[in-house]
Amino acid sequence: MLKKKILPEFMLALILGTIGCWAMFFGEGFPKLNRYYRLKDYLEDLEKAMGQSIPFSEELSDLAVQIKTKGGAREFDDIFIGDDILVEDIGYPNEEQMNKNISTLLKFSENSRIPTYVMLLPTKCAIKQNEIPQAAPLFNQKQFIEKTYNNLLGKATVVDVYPALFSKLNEDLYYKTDPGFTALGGYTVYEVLAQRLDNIPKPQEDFDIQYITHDYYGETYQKSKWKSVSPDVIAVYRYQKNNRNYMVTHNEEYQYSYDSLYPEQMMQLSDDKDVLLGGNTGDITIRSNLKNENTLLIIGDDSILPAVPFLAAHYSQIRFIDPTEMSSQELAQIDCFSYQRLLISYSVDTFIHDDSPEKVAFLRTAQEEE
Amino acid sequence: MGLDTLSFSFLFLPALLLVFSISPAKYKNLSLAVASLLFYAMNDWGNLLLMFFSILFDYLVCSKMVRSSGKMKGRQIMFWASSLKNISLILIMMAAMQLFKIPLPLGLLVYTTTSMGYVIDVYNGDERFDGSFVDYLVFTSFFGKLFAGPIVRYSDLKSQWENRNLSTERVCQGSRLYVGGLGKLVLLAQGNIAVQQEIQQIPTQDVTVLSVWLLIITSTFALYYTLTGYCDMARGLANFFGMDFPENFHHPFQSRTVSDFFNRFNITVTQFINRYVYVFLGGDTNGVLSTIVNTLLTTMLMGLWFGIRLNYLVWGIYFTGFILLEKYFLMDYLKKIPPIFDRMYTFVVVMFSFTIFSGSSLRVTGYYLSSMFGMNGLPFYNNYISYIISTHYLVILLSFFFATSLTVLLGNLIRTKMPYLLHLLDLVIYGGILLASIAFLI
Repeated sequence: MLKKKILPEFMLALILGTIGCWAMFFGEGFPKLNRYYRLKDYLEDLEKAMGQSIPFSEELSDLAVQIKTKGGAREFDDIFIGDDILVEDIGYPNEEQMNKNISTLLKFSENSRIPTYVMLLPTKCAIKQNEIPQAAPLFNQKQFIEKTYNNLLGKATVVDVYPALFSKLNEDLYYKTDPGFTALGGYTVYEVLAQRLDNIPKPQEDFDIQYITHDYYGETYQKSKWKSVSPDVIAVYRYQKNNRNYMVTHNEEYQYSYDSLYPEQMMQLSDDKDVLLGGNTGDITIRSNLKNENTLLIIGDDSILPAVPFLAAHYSQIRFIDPTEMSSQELAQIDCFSYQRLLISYSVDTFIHDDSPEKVAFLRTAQEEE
Repeated sequence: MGLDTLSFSFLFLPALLLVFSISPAKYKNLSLAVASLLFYAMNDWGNLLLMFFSILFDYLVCSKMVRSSGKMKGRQIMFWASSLKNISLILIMMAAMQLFKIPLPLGLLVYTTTSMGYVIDVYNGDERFDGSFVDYLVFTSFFGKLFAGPIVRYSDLKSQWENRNLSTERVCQGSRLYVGGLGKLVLLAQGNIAVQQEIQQIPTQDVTVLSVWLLIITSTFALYYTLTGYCDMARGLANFFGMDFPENFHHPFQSRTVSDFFNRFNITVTQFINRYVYVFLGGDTNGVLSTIVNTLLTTMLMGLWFGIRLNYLVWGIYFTGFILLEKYFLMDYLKKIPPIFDRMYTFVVVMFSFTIFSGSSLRVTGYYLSSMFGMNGLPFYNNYISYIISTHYLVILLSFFFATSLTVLLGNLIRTKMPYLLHLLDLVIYGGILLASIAFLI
């Protein structure tokens, strides 16, 4: 009689408890409660640990994504699922920040005594529209770029790469699993940019293409819940004419240099994509053995980096500065007048959300500095 | 640690089930009382003492009232002190929530109304007081029902405790309710909340007639599936521990009249208000004016159950109009017309009531209503709303489906035509819901 009464609850406890114990003892470890832990925070961390440690958690997580996809969902955590591609939705602008960035840029361009060029790079969701659900509400990057460029008329030379990129929307201009440009994307940007900078773009045939990995999964893939995407191929384009040599110097606290635009040892040390110039450290100088006086200062985010190796074929020195991590004093100390041209290049995503474009105001390029 | 968390289902619940199953019969409620206090502490540590002393006060009042059964005045003072304490506690906390955005203490409405009802019953001699504080704690603050009820009566639970049914069938029934409730909360309520949030984020210039309609529908479903999900889980948990809680929602969107809607929506709260307010005030026995006032007060209280807000009050008043209209004019006609039409009438009335309920103010409600009929010059639809519908169509369709009694009809059909399939289908369907719910919780 006693056995009969105990059995159902006991059995249920056993079934549920086994799952709980499995998660506790075979999982990734549970948070340890101590007196500094607030109960609410502890329970939240416990729930997270439980989610990660429950048996078959990865399969279950996939199941949730599959169910949502069957229910019509094509976007998870601001990432659209395309046909074997992940497309980041950059969302709508932070109006206040965007307006600050625009007015800073206008003021800077107006006062700059160095020939200034401005380039806003459209992101994947603006170009790869064929991979996004038709009715998906997106920020109109094309319209935004055109509007900003119109405001800059007469103040700076603008570089509109949108039409060139959009005309190749079916090509692999962006990585499938990362928001950045591929080498081909970088070349497309370069083709337009080089002309605006009064250079004749080198034809694609002048570059040797080397495929350095066929199984690259980028930043978007790591964040994405949808994992059914094939890996990316990382290719590098090397300019083979005129025995060109390059020295890439990273101006960190301790300077270090690579004698190649593509230091392949970086693939062993960090992210595969860091093979490009050795990664974005925020202050990179590229010197070539080109005997001319052409120099270029690039201020912007890392979206421009894939185009830099191509530009390097035209300049004796290019310096790339990402103001994100730099203080106003550090920016003010940059000798902008030692460069013939100044290019401000941001992806639309950074420009409409981030405050780093505002920092160009600290560069000393205005008349009083002459 | 809510009911819809992995740590509750796989750590707290099995630990309690284990302790409960090995506890001797006379200590089973003690294990539930301790677990309920522990659960409360984990969810709302700051208000644990408030709950404990509020319940203790009512318990002592009952005890005093029973002991001083001969002294009418003393009993009255005790009774009013308890009622005043409960009513002011609800009003103060709701006002604090409204004015200072302080969250309502967990289960405040459930444990105060349950306790208040019991004090009234003991005062009137309708309930027996047996002096067990542990039983009283379980009755008022059983952890499963803290979120949304149902409100239970002491005598019902007492008889169940005396003859606790801990059969396999009861546990299976409990599992079905528990898993079904979890599915409603995690898959449907959360799904509708997600749609609701996406619609609310649409820029003002892109709002359409269809988006306002969908906002009202998903807000309604979000509320319905949250409440019914918690209630089903509470009933399932009660079953695990040998109790049987009453049903709190019975397909309210299929009601044939508005009066019927209240017999199916938040049933135990409606019964509570009917019993302790409507009937106490005389119900419909003192003429038309009294009936109108009593009905008005009752429906207003049903609205205020969800919080002190003008919109909830107006929600209640709106229903008074229809209930009285039905009582004095429409009922004869409604009985004669085919069921599909009276159901459609009720569905439309109820759906519109939620424009009042969902609006943050009456002005917003007015905007919703005018927008729903294209009076604000809004386009019927655009890319935004088609995208939201296309990416959430399944959750919207399932919400409509599970709001009807079609699942019950299908279950009955299988029970009569293919009884051998019943257990297998039960296992497949509820196993699937459990897996999907866990997957969504990860």
